[in-house]
Amino acid sequence: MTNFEKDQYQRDLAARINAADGNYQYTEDNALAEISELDTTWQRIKNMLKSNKVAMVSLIVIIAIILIAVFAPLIIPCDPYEIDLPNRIKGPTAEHLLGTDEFGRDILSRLMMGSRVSLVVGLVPTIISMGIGIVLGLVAGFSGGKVDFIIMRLADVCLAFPSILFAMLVSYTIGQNLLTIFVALSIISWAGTARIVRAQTLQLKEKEFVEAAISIGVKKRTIIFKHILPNCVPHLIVLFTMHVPSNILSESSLSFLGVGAQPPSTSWGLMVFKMKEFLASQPVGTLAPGIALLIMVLAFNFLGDGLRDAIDPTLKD
Amino acid sequence: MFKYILKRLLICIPVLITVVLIIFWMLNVLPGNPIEQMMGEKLKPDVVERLTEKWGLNDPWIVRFGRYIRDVFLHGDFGDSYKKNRPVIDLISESFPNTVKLAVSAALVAWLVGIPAGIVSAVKKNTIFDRLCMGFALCGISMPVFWAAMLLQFIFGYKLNLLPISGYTTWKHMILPAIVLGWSSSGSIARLTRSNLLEAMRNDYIRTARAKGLNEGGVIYKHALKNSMMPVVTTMAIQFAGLLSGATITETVFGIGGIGRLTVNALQTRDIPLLQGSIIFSTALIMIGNLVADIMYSFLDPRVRV
Repeated sequence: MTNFEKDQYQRDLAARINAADGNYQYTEDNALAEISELDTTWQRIKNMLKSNKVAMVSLIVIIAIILIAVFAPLIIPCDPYEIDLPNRIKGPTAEHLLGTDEFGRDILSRLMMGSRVSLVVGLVPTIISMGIGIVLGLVAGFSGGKVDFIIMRLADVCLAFPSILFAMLVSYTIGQNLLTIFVALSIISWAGTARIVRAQTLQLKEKEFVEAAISIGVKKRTIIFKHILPNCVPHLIVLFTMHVPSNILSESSLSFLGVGAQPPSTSWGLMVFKMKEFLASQPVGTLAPGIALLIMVLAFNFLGDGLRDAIDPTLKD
Repeated sequence: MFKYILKRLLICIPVLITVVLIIFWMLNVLPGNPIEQMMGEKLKPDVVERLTEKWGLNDPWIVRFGRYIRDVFLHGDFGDSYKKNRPVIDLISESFPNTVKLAVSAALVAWLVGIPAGIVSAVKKNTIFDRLCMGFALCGISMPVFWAAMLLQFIFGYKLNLLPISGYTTWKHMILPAIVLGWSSSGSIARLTRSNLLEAMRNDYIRTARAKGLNEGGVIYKHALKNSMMPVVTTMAIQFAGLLSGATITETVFGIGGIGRLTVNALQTRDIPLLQGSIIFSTALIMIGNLVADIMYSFLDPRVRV
């Protein structure tokens, strides 16, 4: 499923930045506020985590999952790839806490290894696609004219592809494996980021402190890194927390459809797919990976909600 | 305003052609010979020759692409499916009614659950109702759809034996898919309704309405709701387009013969014309959804030109 809320948020944010007040007054207060944007962002995040227990718990859950994923090879109870056919599809025992799958492999160990797949697919394509979005958004906003037009139409092209369909297309071209999902998710979802960064660039370009900087011959690079990007960071953080869970869900769905991870990989989506015929005899095999996915995605979404409230006060209740 | 809409419509044409070009390239040009792709490499040379001739694969790709664009845009002809030997457009128009049924039923669930849940949460802000509704909504967004679908199938189809789990013939078949898909879509609707309603309630005209003695229900329904629904309606438009373009996973799990399953089948049998046709069809629907949303946004705030 496409995350419609993410799409809506991106559209709404770009629109709000576009429509923000044109008669910006250059005062010392405003200038200071601009400069300290980053500091206040971190301050707000810290305060939010102190007061918002759900977000705090989510952060702890995410850190725990990351630790499990990093140290998985050291802490798994059994070899996740070891086949033991006589003991296939067994319920939980002392030896196999969550039972065994269709080849007699230990489900708990496979779950732990699977967290790596989900985390990496959640994080890496998000970073790459947002990187692409930032660069293209800056270029579009700074250059204007034809370059801007072409980049924004490319963004329209990307917005037309639902990520799952695009991943299917890529899987036809380069084969059905995890790399496919990486490539597909990395190159398709930059459009929202680009729209927002472009809107922010356009708006800041007009402001006096940027005009002043340009007129005294400050390099473009300095303007981008000192003035424009720091103003985008709060929005980018919120977008990041929305992209990660949506990518995790896309990966699991694609693996479930057989387009993503291939056996004997330990992707959670693939585990659900493989164990679904045994739902009656070994329900834990299907329930556990699904619950793991749910917890991980929920944690990212709750944290994202908290961050959005902290960073984007217009949405705060 | 009219000029903006016209411009936005005109821009759609090159964008759509680019989309078709990308799809065509990724299916026909990059992977190599479609015949080998579909049937493996152990084919007799004369068979390969005959099929190449029949499907017109001898020409350079740019000629084939030109022909394809002409056929699609002028005649609505997406070619013939390699595997089923029937026009792709027929297969799509046979599957589409099922997808429409699924989309409409899921959207009804999403709207009938999502909007009231959002209103209740906003009105009873920070109470137990609010927390429950928002928890329910966030679960819907975070739930892996395939997993929720399987659990419901297992509970209502297998254990309780109340509802059929596969196929799409009677109204009973429509219930579980509509719930699964509707739940995951209702989450976004509920959350957007809540946040927009809360934002609207902070406005001065709300205070005025209260000050002149209007009761709370009137304030919410007559003033706040009207002014806060625009982003929600925009999302509903895009969401509906997304549902129409095929709920791949729901259709696969429940064995519904819609556009989504058609696409997955085409991918698995490596049937290029069918895969190409169904993906183009889906992306065109999404584009229409995006277009409608952008135009609605420009009505909402004429300063905005996304």
